[in-house]
Amino acid sequence: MVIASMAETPGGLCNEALNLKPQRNPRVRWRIYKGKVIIPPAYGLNETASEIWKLCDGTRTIKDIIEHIKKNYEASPSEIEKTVIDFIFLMEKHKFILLKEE
Amino acid sequence: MSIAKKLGLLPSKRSMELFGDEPPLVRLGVRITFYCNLACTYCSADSTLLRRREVPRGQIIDTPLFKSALEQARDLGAVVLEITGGEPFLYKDLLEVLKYADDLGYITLLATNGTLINEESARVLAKLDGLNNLQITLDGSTPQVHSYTRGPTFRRVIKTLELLKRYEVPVIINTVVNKMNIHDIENIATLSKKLGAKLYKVSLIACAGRGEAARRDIGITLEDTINLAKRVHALFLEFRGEMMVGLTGPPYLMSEDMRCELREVSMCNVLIHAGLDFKGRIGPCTYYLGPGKCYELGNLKAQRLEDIWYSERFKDFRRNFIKEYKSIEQIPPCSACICREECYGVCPAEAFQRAGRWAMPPDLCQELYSRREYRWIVTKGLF
Repeated sequence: MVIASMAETPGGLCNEALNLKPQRNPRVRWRIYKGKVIIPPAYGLNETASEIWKLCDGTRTIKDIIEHIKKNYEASPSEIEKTVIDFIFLMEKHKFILLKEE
Repeated sequence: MSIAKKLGLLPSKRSMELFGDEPPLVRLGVRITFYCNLACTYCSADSTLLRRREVPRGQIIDTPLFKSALEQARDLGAVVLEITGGEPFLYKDLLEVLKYADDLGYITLLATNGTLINEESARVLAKLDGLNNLQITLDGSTPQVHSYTRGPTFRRVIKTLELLKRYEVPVIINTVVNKMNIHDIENIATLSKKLGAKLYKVSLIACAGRGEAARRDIGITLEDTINLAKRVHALFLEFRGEMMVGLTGPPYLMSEDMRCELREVSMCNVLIHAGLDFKGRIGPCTYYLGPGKCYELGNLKAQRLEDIWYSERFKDFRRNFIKEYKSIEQIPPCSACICREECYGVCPAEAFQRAGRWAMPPDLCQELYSRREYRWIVTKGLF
C-alpha cells in the first residue's frame, strides 16, 4: 500500500521504489498466444505490456525494465516510464506480480 | 483512456478484442459424461443416474482423446481446464488426466459431488499445483436440509471435505440456494470455514436441465434474492481474510471488493471458451452440447481442434454472438446496468438452450428493472 501510494506521487517513483524487483507470481499460470501474453481468466496483454510482463522475472529492477523498454520501443521517455510503472503496480494490485525489495 | 484499457488488462470481455477475429482459446471445458451416482433435484446437466457399476461404453470420455484435446488446446492458448459431468470421479482415468493437465501448465477447475473421493485420490489431488478449484456442493449444515435436494449424502460429503482439508486441497464449497435451505446459509458458511474451504459460494438454481422445473418448484423469490445478496455480503465481511465468500449472479449484487476477489472463478467469456464432450463434439462451451439442444461446431474425432477453432462456423458464432449482444446492450436493462462492461447478459448457453438466441438479459435483471422500487439495484448496484 505504501508502495502504491508512492507510485501515485506526482513526479513518479522515488529511487528506492525504482530499485524494487518485480517478479511474476509463480502461482499465476500464463501462455503466449500470437506474441501476446494471456493471463486467466480472461486477460490479454498488448505487445508492450507482454514485453514488460516477460521482463518481470525477479532479477531486474523497475529501473532496468524501463531502460530495456526505452531501447526497444519508440515513445517519449516519460511516456515509457509512466507505462512501465503503471503496469507493474496495476499487476501488483491484482497479485499477478510480487515486488521484491532486494 | 485508463492504463488498464491501454494495456489490454481489462477484467472484462473487452480484453480479448486485442486478438481480433482469431482470439485465443483460453478455457477448455470438458463434459466427461452425463452419468452420475446422484440425482440432484436441480441438476443443470440433467444427469443420468448410474444404476450399474460402470458407465456404459461410449458414454464416458476416451483418455487418448482427452489428452490430445489438452495438447491441442494448449497450442491455441488454453490455460484453464474446466471438468464437469455427470460425476467426474466415475471416470477411472481422471487422476491420470489431471496429472497430465498439470504437466501441461493448466489451471484446473473441477466440479464434483464429493461422494467418490477416497484417500488415494485426495493424496494425488494435493500434489497438483494447477488444481485451483475443486468445487463440492453442500446444500445444508445438517443431513436433513442437505438431503432435500441432494439425497442422503451429507455424512459422505463431510467426510470427503475433512479428508481434503487434511491434504490441503483447495476447495470451494457451493450451496445452491432454494426455499428449503435459504434459512441455513450462515450455518453452512460457518461449517465451510471449519472445513477449510477457500471459498464459500452461494448459487441460484441454473435454468438448465432439471433446474428449469426446480426453479419453479423450489426457487426463491425476488425479495429473498435481494435479501440473500445482502446476507452474503455480510458473510463476505465477516470471513474476510479467512475464507472468500461470493454469490453467483449478476455482478451488481456484489460489492466491487467481492467481484475483485471472485474474478478467477466467476468470469465467463464465451468468445474464448470451447467445450468438448465425451462424443468428441466441440461447441462454444459444454452447455451448448446438451442436455437439450446441441450446437456442434466440429468433432475432435475427425478434425483438428485448430481447424475447428478457426473455422468459419466458429467465427460466425463469435460474430453473431457479438452482434446480438451489442443489440441487447442498447436496450434496458442492459443499457442501464452498472455492470454492462463486465457482463454478457445471461449465460449464453442458457440463452441458446431456452430461446435459441445468442444473447439475452438474465430474467433476474429484467424483473428487477421492471419493478420501479428495485430498478436502482441494476443501475447503481446493491452496494
